[in-house]
Amino acid sequence: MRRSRNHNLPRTRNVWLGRALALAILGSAPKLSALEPVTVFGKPVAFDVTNTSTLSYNVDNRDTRPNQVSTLANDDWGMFYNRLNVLANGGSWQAGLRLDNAWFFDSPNPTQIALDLWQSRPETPGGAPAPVYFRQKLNEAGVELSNRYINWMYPAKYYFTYASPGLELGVGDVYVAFGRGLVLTLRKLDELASDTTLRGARVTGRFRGKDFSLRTTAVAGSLNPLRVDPASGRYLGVDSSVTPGFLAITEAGMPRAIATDFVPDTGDCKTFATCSYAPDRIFGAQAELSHKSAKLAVQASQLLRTTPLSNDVVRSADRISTGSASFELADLAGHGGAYLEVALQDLHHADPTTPKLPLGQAVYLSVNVLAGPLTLLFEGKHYRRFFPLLANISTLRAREFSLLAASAPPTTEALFIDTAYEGFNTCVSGGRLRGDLALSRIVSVYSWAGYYQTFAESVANESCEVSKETRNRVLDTAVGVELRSRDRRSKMDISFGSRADDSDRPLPTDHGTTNVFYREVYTRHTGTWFLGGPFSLELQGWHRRRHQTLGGPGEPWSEGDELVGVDYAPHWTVAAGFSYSTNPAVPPTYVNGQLGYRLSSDSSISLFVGQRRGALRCVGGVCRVFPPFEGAALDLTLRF
Amino acid sequence: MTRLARLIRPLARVWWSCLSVASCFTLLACGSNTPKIPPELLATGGCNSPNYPTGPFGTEEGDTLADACFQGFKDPSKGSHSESSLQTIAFADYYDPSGSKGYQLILINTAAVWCSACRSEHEGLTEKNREYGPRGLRILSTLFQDAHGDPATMRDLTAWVETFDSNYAMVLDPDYQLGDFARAETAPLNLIVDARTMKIEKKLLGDQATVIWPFIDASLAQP
Repeated sequence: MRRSRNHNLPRTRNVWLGRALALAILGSAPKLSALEPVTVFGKPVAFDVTNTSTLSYNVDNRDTRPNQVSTLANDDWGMFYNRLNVLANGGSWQAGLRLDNAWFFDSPNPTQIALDLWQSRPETPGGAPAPVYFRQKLNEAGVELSNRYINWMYPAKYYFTYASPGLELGVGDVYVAFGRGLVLTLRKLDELASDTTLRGARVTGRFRGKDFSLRTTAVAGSLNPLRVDPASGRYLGVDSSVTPGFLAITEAGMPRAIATDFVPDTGDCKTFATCSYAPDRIFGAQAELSHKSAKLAVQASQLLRTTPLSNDVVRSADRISTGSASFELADLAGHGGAYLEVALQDLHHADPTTPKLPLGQAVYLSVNVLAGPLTLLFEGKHYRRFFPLLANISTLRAREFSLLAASAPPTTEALFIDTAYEGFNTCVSGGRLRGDLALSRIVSVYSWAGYYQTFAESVANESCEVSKETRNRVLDTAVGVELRSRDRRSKMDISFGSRADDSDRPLPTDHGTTNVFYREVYTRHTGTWFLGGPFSLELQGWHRRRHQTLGGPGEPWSEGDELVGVDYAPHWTVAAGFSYSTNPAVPPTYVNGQLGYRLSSDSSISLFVGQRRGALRCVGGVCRVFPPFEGAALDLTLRF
Repeated sequence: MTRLARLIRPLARVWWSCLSVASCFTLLACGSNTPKIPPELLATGGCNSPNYPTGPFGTEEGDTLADACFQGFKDPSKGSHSESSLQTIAFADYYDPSGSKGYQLILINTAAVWCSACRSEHEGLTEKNREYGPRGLRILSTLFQDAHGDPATMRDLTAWVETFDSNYAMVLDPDYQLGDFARAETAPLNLIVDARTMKIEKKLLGDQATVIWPFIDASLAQP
């Protein structure tokens, strides 16, 4: 058993351990200087080394609920998480390695969790006898902790690339982006600490004619997400039953499912409770023909799966084929551009009891118009049974990774929107028009309005039945202003928005019958003020008034985040954050402080102390759940 | 060689500091602090029926389902929904090794008042029970949390069965005894169990009507 062995140590000791570690890292930090090129086989090779370390300790995050193991299993744990990136650049070729390791120096104890739940157990009719309750909670906690807080060191990414004017070759971990993400897209999203690649090979060839150019790309490999979620301490484990043949090579050295006192090794990932990931094999190709500003492309991907670990209609498919054709006019005589992509998708299930879904369809259109100071952008979509290529994750065992996917159909919504619930984007029609008007050099205003009809948000509707009963009507609007100082050192962006999401389905409540709906009004702002000398003030906030009749608290509630920081150039930053929520299901206030010191342009150290609200964070339709955090985190980034 | 040394030295420093600190943590981590379990929690027992299959039990597909007991209504469409009408209902009640009870499959489902997918699922469950009940399907649903994520109460159970006009067994599970199968946040959980062996045939999270009902249909069609 590889579980961390100490549990529930006195908190004071952890405080001192944290201080000791911080001092050790600072004391041993090397003098920062660029690495000089090294001669390899007579040719200069430049090395770039970046090391990022995080030391964090999580105390009670105040989310504890009666009888719920998971709300105690995320308290009182500490982690040292290190990411070492080494890049060698030999001109036409590059080689790189990212080595991740997570060490958990403190973690919760399953027996203590079961005892704590038993002691705080509310008196309710229909409850089980105390010994039965304790045994059940002990087992539940044991299983819950069996794939959390486990120490791992693994090669998160490695690659070799060669580039010449006509040919690009990548072996190892490669990124892919075909079209606008309907068919295949694997990229790094720093905002969400997400970095999913294809571990295999990518070949790109370029042919240039007199009036046209042709670019072809082919990729093949297995999906490779980051395996440790530092926010929850959960990891993705594979076992040999899901890594046959080629996958045994791509999964060499990666975290494995482990047997514990609570989880026996069954030899089959489907029933091995710490086996939470089975890599999919993905093949893709794209051909892109360009003539001046016009570009015509066709792209396709095929996802092959041997052992589905979840039974939903997408993850249980053993083959998902997706193809699209796109046409882009990047320049409409200097007045904008346009992009159109039409895609089809077929899901094949080996299980004969799963009904065959009709072919999925997607149409995405984007038009932008430039007319002097006015810029218009229209994005529209029409999706029917069009699903993201969800990774083969066991949502039961590693739900923190449940949003991992190899494609991201465009949402056409503002990047930060996090209220497109459930299967919103799989069966939807609608679009959004945004206009930006520059009133002067220092003032511009913008506004948008989006309208969507979705048929898979408030009901499960994989087959995409379009009817009044399954429909939600969504109106999303916003208006904002951007201000800049004449010297461009200060700027401010403030906006107000609303979202109304209604269905016709009645919902009985304590106060009578209403409809299933969601409403929101909000204001967002971000700004930087130059205060003179080396000082500037930074402000960032998002304040929302929300009402969700189903899935929310029932009554309207307010929530918001405000971050105020002072930058003392070139080294120091100090910030204080405050969050609040009137949702009775979560604590009312959160306070935190942050201190940062830049050692150089690429190296820095920062300390976060306090509380952070749990939230679903989305960037352009890619979302990730961040649990509430309370404690301290020290980050150190060094680049050589 | 000098250049290589320049490359390796800073790396070595960083790693040495990381490893040495980690070693300190590992050393400090040793030692036993296992919490003591009060004797009253170590008693055996529960609701195991003498006629129920023996273990080993498990929570995955292919495993045998362990017995569990609840308080609830066997058929809420008949009789009152008061506390005095509550009955003890166990998984063992649905165990039918010889087929003498006419039970072939059991659909065990979890529900919570806050869970929109659970509500959506229960909107059609009464009709499905009418359709598949005569063919040998029994449905048992456990209500485990209220609208705020607190343990479900008698009031929640009564409101639930009246809202959805339930005609299948609906029980209270305030302790969330089915937590071994799935975390509360992932509700609804659906287990399709073979009544002749109490083996879990299918385990699904969420409202998966597209998958559940064709599977049940195909399973009931088998002799």
